[in-house]
Amino acid sequence: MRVLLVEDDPALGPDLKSELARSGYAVDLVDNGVDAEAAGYEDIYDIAVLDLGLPGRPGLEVLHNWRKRKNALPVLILTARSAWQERVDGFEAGADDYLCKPFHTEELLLRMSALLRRVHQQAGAALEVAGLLLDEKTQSVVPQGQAPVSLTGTEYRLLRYFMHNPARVLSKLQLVEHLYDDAVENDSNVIEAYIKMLRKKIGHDRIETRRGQGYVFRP
Amino acid sequence: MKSIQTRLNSAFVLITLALCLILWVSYSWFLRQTAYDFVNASLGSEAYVLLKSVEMDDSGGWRINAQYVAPVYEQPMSGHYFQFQVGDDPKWHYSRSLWDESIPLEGGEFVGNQGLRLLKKHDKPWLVREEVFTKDGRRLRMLLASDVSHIESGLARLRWGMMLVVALFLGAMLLAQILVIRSGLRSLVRVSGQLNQLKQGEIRKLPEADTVEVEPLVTEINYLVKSMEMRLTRSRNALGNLAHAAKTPLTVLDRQIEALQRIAPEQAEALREQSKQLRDLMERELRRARIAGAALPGHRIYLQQELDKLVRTMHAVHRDRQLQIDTQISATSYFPGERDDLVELLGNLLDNACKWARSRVRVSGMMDEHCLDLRIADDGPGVAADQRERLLQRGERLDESRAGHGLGMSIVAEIVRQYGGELDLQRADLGGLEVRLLLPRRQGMDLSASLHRDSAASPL
Repeated sequence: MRVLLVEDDPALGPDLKSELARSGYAVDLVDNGVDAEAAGYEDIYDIAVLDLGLPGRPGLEVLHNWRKRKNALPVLILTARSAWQERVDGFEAGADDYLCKPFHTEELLLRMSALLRRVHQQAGAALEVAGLLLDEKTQSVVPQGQAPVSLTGTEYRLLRYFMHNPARVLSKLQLVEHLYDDAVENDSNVIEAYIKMLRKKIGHDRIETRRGQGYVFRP
Repeated sequence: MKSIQTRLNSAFVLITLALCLILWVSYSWFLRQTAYDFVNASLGSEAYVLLKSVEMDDSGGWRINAQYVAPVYEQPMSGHYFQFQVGDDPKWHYSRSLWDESIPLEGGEFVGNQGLRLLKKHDKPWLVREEVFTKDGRRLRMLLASDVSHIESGLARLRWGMMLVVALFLGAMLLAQILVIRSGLRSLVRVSGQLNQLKQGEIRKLPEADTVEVEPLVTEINYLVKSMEMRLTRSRNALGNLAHAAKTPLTVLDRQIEALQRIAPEQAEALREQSKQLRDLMERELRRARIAGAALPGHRIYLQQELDKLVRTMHAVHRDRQLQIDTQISATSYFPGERDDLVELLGNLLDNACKWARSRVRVSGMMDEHCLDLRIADDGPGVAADQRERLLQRGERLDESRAGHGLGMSIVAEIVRQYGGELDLQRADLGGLEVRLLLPRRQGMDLSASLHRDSAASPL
């Protein structure tokens, strides 16, 4: 899952970025409204966490512009503005959720995963697809009726992306884009290695290879 | 309070009366003087006629030759008299009209010139003129008198006539003045009507005035209204910025505390407590400062539109719960104040209701001639009667485990207080809590009658 984090505070931004990265998100941090709007049009993000008081362009305007141009990127507004009129304005502009500062990290993570599940039309409190339950707290997978299997960071991120997009053909490039926030590990051959390891943990036939196209997670 | 119309009218009446009085006094003085002069002149010419008719009779005495004398002197008490005296002879000769009276030699007041005297004889005003001639070498002293009561009665008639004319004139002028002033004040009256509309929120600014005198007033009022609005917006923005500026470092601080917790849980707990207090304090004060209150005129926010947006927001905020939010708002209901205040008010109440409701929340509103009557009800567990009082008075949070009902309630109470409204909590027919709000259409209206009106006569 790749997150567009828009936060102009020099202390909170990087701190939040590393916190989100620890929870298995690939994070791109943007500190102004103009860059944020441009980044939002790139089709690589699964969710945006948007501050409202931004230099360059107000957050609400950024959101408004995205929605005007039919960009359906799930947006969680994270702001100090707590008046109801401001919340109404946020939701009317097209926000999917609204969280007021100060906030607890767990609350933010909870809201983000709830929003992601909702976007992919998955009801319920935890991510569960076809007998596989993903525990986001311990970053482990629980096959039905079996003991939890712990995952490495990349395996967890890979499986989570698959589980959010079941039955969809996902190319290697797509997987790389949604798992990593920079170009360090974007060699698509690495993906093959991780898929192999993941298959060992959840069963070989869960992930089907489509030659020349990519992979499909079978529910 | 004085009315300009009354003040102008009374001043006008006083000034006009004084002017008329002066005019009347001087006019009658001149008239009388002219009449006296006229009488005087005719007495003078009479004197010469009489002088000519005085002759010596056969016995060496003096008499008047009646042939030359006007018949009025022969008629007793005719109003025209004379008497004369010749030489050193003390004997006076009287006209027959005097009968057995005589013209007083002295007394009376001098009027005009040439020794003309005005005196009273048997309650009748006489003008007396004295002439001294020399006839045939003898000194001839002659007194002529004329009864001028007809002049006095003529003047009296004139006085009444004039009074009538003045009264008519005054009435007509007053009427004309009232009409003139009223048309002059019309633009003021119009402005005061428009001010009322402004206060009621029917118009947002006063239209241009058509008179030079009223125009600065209108401009000034419009400027004031606008600058108050701008000031409010400015201070809101400043508060928003402050909130942003203060809360972000506070968030960072909280995250540091969380990190500290792993190393030194006790210190972290103490810090967390302080940070929480600071956060609550700031949140409360910022929210309170945002309330505009009923100070600004010219607002009328129709409920349905704002409520629709809020309901969408509530569905988004409480998305995980399948809530049914009904609104029953009579079409003419409006909020007599500022939009942000209404949204804050309803937002807090609806949020509370949504938190506690099992499945249903209902908002109903109606407007009568006094106030806006709003009710927000839920089908949740409700609040016991003795707890309601606590909730209202201190904005206490009854259940610490669930956010809300605390700060939200105190903000609601603060907004209602600033609008001079009433707030009441009761048991909803849905089963949970019903919050009832009464907000006056205009500042300073008494709502106690409306509050205690039978709840059975509820909206719709």
